[in-house]
Amino acid sequence: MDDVIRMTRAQPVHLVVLALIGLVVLVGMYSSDRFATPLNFANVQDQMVALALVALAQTIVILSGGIDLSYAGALGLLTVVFASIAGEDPSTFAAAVVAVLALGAFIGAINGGIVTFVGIHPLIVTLGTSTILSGLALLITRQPTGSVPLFFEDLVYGRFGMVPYGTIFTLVLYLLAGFLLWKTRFGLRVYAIGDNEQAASISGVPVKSTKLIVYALSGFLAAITAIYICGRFGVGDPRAGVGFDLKSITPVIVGGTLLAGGRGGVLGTLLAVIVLALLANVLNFMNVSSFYQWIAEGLIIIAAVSIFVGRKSK
Amino acid sequence: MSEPVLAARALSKSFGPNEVLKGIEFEVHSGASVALCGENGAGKSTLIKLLTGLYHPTSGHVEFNGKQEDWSSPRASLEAGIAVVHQEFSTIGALSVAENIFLDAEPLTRLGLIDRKALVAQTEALLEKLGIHLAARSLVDDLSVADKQMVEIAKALRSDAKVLILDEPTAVLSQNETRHLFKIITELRASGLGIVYVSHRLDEIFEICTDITVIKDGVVTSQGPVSGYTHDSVIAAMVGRELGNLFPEKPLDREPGEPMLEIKDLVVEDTLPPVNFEVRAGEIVGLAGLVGSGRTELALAIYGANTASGKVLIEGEPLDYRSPSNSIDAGILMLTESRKDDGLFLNSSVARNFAATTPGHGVHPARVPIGHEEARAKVMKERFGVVVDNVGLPISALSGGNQQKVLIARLLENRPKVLILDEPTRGVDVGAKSEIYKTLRHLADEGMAILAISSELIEIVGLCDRVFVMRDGELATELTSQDITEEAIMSVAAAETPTHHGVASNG
Amino acid sequence: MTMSALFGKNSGTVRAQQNRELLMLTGFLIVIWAITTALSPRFLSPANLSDILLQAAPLGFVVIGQMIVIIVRGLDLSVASIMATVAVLSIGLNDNTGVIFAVGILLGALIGAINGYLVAYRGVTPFLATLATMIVLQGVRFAYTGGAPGGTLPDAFRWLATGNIYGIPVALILLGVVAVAAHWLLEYTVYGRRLKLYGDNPDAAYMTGAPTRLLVVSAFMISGILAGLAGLVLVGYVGIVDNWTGRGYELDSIAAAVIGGAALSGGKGSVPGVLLATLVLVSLFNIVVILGLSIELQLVIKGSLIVLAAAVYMRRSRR
Repeated sequence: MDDVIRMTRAQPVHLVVLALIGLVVLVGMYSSDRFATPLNFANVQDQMVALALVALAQTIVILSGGIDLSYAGALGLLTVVFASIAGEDPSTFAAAVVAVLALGAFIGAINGGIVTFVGIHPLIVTLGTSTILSGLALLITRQPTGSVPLFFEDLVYGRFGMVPYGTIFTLVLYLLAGFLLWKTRFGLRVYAIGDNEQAASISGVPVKSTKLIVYALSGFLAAITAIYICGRFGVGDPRAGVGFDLKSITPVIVGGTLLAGGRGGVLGTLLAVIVLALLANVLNFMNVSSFYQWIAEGLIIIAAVSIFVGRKSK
Repeated sequence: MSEPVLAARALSKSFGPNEVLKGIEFEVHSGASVALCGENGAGKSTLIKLLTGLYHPTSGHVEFNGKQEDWSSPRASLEAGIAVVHQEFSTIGALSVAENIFLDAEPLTRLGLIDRKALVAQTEALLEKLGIHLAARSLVDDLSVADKQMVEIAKALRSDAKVLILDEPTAVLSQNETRHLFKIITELRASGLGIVYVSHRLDEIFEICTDITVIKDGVVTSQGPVSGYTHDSVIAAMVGRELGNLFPEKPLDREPGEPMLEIKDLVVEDTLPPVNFEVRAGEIVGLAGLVGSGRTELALAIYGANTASGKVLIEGEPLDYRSPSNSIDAGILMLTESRKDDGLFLNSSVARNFAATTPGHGVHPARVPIGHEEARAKVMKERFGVVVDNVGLPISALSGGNQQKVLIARLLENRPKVLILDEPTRGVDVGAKSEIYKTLRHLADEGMAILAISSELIEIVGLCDRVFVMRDGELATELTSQDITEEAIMSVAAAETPTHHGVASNG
Repeated sequence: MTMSALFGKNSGTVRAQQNRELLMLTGFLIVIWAITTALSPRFLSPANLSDILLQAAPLGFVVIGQMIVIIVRGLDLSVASIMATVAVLSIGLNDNTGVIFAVGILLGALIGAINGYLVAYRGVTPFLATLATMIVLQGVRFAYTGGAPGGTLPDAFRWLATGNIYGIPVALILLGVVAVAAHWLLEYTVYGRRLKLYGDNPDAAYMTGAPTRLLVVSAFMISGILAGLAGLVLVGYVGIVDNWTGRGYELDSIAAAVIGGAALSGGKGSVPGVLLATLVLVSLFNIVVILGLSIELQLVIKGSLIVLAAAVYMRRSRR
């Protein structure tokens, strides 16, 4: 049992998030009979895939004690590049996938390299690279451009029964990430560095290379997100990433991962993404403008952080 | 004689202009346990960091199994078989006991994944072998300090170590835990390990060590089998001079003045008995005791930096709301234990550090005129003999002794009635020490009340007019004039109590 | 400031190092101005220079506040949101210029106090506290305006942002007053000293009697007030109230503060430094326009400059 809890990184606060999910669903069912339908739930899932993917990347970076604000620029550039080379047939598509995944990992590695080897705060580094990347994206094109093969759009919009393929794909990635963090040395290193970098270093953990890989992985996951976004919109948009930098942090924090690093896991992030997506959906049904959703989101962050503060401050 | 398993050959290390270690020769043979003795700041920790590859020597080299080694990282020395239990914990709270012990050496399956079952099994076997009772799966966050130390030791011994280095391993352990640790050490030595044991506690050294190496000011001053030493000769080698030179004369015949600081029913922690004592004008009162006996906590409570209930009176006037700011206003000033943690502003200039408590002192309560701090600091520099070219330089450029002088000078700017000094000479060279002692005695003569905490017995004995020995958070005894001896202090401080920490019933 | 103080025997002092940083920034500014003038003489025309300064003014207010927060080891992501919220609310509530400014300053102070409370008393990381405030404020002002802000700008208000006194734009005079006051506060008062010392070492500041929590709250309040002012000045300059007034200023202000020598690790920063950095940023944006380059190059330049500046300061502080 201990192992199960540790493996899933389950925390008491996840019960609160689960209860919130239940509450939101109840309110949704009460406010509209169109809410609890397979179609609507599939919609909610479609809405949350991109955020879930970016938040997964952010979770790993934050667990390692860092932060990645480069998604805003990175997603823009990656979608533009992908859509402009994906073409119409499987071979160009495959090449585009490989190229964009490599580019994403490369961007992440540059972030990680500057953070680790120059020693600049990741906030400043990723802020800077994000600005550069969005500039590059806009230099390539100011308007949404390019295209993706039809079969790929079909895939992204496809559903297994009433479950979008995107959801299944996301769940698989979360499982893989959880597995990575639990079953590999890399995973334990991430936690060790995030908790206490110096102690980890004394213990022989290769701190620098681990950090480098973390940021590269973050860029890689951003590339996956970019490909998914292209699939949904059919074009590459230099502004596709706007807002994702800060948006990606909310579910991580609400899911119980500490911004200071070392504590938390991907399960919490997934639950938080679900509750945020459902909340937005229900508020829409209740005709509450998205303006109030922002207020709610901000208050949720404050509430979540205030709960966790007591834990780590000794 | 057989070849030493680990040795330092003419090892030197400098940080900038400061030469911390000079030509150290040091050997550990397998089956032997060498005590590494020396005062704080003598260079013991630096030597350990050089032996394990955390630092690289400026000159000289490290020898392991007779071969010259230049460890690229602590990891390299660890893999070669040098296990270290550091003074600062290297446990990771977010990981389990098993994950901590085998961090980065986890058993892997054929696919390169962590074999969780084997990890737990190996951990249990190791803990069993060492006689440590801990659950492999429990989170280190949930462990007591002593248990964390046990995890450290198990971690150091997870692979076939040839040498085990223990840096102050008993500082946080109770008597029983210490006994258990000694049993483990003795067994390990019997099985052929070389042990390096760093400790301030001479009794422990004489109990479990076979050889002694004493370091003072970065140089080995004495070396040999333990049978050739007595407590006194070790201390003499550590201090390296007669007491008389170092400390100013105590005014033994003087009548104590009025009570300046009175502590009434101060309860620092709910489980501890209340503390009562006073410090009179013209007195230097010492707080002695082992690390962890609650001296610093008591001092911080008096200063108002830690919450506590009870009364603190200055010249008979009770202080109401307790905070450092109010204490300073009332005339209590405190020098903290760790300069780097909560004393110095390392990126700021010497002048700003000096003026930090009252930046506008003498001109305005809210304004700091141009050049004001520098002008004050120049006066201070002459008066206290601080060695620095320019008071505008960052204080990080100064030696430990000069930094400490600036901090003490800072306290005096406020014309304190009561001075609380926690380890006033930590990491300070002998010359600066003697100057600090003179200054303190001079201040007492002028009518200040001084409360000094020190882990160096010699300092307590040489400096203080009256001494309280603390044990498990309470004042265990009071010693005056001729009764203040190292033996008297140690016999009380290190006495075994029926229960450890916090549950003593008298009071 | 003699050459010997900069490079001679006293070159190691904290002040000499700061002066060198200022000199470096000034040199950089002169170099880019010289190059641009060589490429396009139009750059140095009074009209263009006044344009640069006017564009720099709103950012200047925000940067000074951002720097003060960074000095106490904070970060204020909510400044842009404060700018827009203050502008939308205070202009929506009243059309008297005096009242607008009074309400704006109070509102900025209040929001700053909330940020400061969360950080100093609740122990929330500045990043998250101000992120949350940013999002909440966004919701509040959109809800207030229903998405379409209204309110008319009184003429006097427009004058504050675009008018002249003896040929000097009023907005610049206002910024000048704020900058001098902030510089005086930071360098020549006990309060300013305590801010910097707190940033250098919060524990040591507490032990030397500094009111640490109030320092942090006050820093966020200053940032809130200055962001509010900046919002009003920017709206006055642009001429319309918009829900996204000041968008991007949170990152621009952090960039300018870092380029101007403020360190995220706290304790370091000067008003002249960050104002110079603001000018550098705005000049670079202007140059891109003047030379007819693609606007997007601004982003690339800005991002590179942020990382480069941080790297330069990082190397210096390591020595």
